[in-house]
Amino acid sequence: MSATNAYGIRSLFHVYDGAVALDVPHLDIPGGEIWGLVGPNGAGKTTLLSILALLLKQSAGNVYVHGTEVTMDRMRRLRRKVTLLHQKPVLFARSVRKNISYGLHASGFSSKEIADRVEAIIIEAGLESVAGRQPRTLSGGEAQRVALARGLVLETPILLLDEPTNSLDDAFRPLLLQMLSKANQSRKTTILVATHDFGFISAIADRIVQMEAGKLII
Amino acid sequence: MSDLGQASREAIHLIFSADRDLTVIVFASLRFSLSSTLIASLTGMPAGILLATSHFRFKRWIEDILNTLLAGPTVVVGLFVYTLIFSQGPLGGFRLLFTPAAIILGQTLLIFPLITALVCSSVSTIPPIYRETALTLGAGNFRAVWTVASEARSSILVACLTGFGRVIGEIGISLILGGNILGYTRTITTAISLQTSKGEFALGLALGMILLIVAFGVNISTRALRRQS
Repeated sequence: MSATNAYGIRSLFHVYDGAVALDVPHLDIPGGEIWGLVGPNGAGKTTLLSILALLLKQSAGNVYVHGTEVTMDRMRRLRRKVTLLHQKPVLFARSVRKNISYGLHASGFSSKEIADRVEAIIIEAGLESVAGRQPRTLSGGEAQRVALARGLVLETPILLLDEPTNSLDDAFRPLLLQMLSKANQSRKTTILVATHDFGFISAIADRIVQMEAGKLII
Repeated sequence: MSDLGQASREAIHLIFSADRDLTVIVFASLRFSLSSTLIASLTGMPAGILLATSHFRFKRWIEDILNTLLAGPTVVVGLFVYTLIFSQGPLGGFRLLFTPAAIILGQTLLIFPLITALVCSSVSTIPPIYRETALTLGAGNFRAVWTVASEARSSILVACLTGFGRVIGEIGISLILGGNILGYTRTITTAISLQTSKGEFALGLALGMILLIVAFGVNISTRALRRQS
């Protein structure tokens, strides 16, 4: 299995509530590319992202991250290579700044590195005016930007986004595109975006694949 | 009616003059209740968090047992602990009976299931996506569970306050295990019971008023925390 691929999938099969939710016989996602995953509701996009984020164990088959097979004992280590941004931004009940620094603390970065990275991403995401606020006081779009900043600040080699434009204000769509492009170009971040928004994904994706009834149509 | 009026006036006088017997009893009660609440919270919080965030075979059984113990009468808990610590009991050698430690032990056993069940229920209301988010941000299992629990921190504090509210007003355990010894194991509730049986209402009424004030404080704090959560 090539380590240059961000993901390798072999004979992946997932059953949910007795029905086949995913059936992906073979897929390689090269490192450093932006992929779009489009398809109707219930096509299996979120399930695939959960498996690729190593949050859900597939019923059968193998997943490789940078050439390393995902097993239970490697899951924690490999999970640090991946960040998933959920469709609905989930923010913890602490200030925006503390939300953004959460993953950096969890990953053991130094205080100075944390402070530098957090301030930089706050400015990049235009969150200066809300940095000290509690999540419950934010609009849906602001919360989405905080979640995005919290994911990007980790600079993981792989970034997964589930419907990132859903609650984002139109005014900030160019900012999202810009931040994703920057991560991809400057750090060769592999990005996989599940979305209904064809206009958004076609603007940045190297490749767009369609999903239907748990299968990829390439 | 005039007896009640007279007793009430005397009760208020006892409170405002900080009567020695009254303060000794109140402080003993608070000490026992705070100690048992602290011990039950320190053990019940992790137990409840663990129960809420883990999946194992007999989980439902344990939840059912805890829920059953919630309604346990205090005299039954007192009797159970008595059989353990009386001189012929398995823990008789520790000479705990009729000591503050016996009351604290009994009260701890009374509210441990309550705090565990309430904490479990509070943490269970936090959607699983919070734990997943913590994990995908690089948190290990312990930090992820801690993050989920901290989302329910106000409700967890309410659970501890509820435990305190339960023990400050209990009588069965204090009477059976403490023996109602003045200056040693006499609590607000056992003193009220004794004073009433003697027909001396003033001290009993004063203690009752203090108990109601404490209960009111607990309720106000609980409501404030609930609003916050």
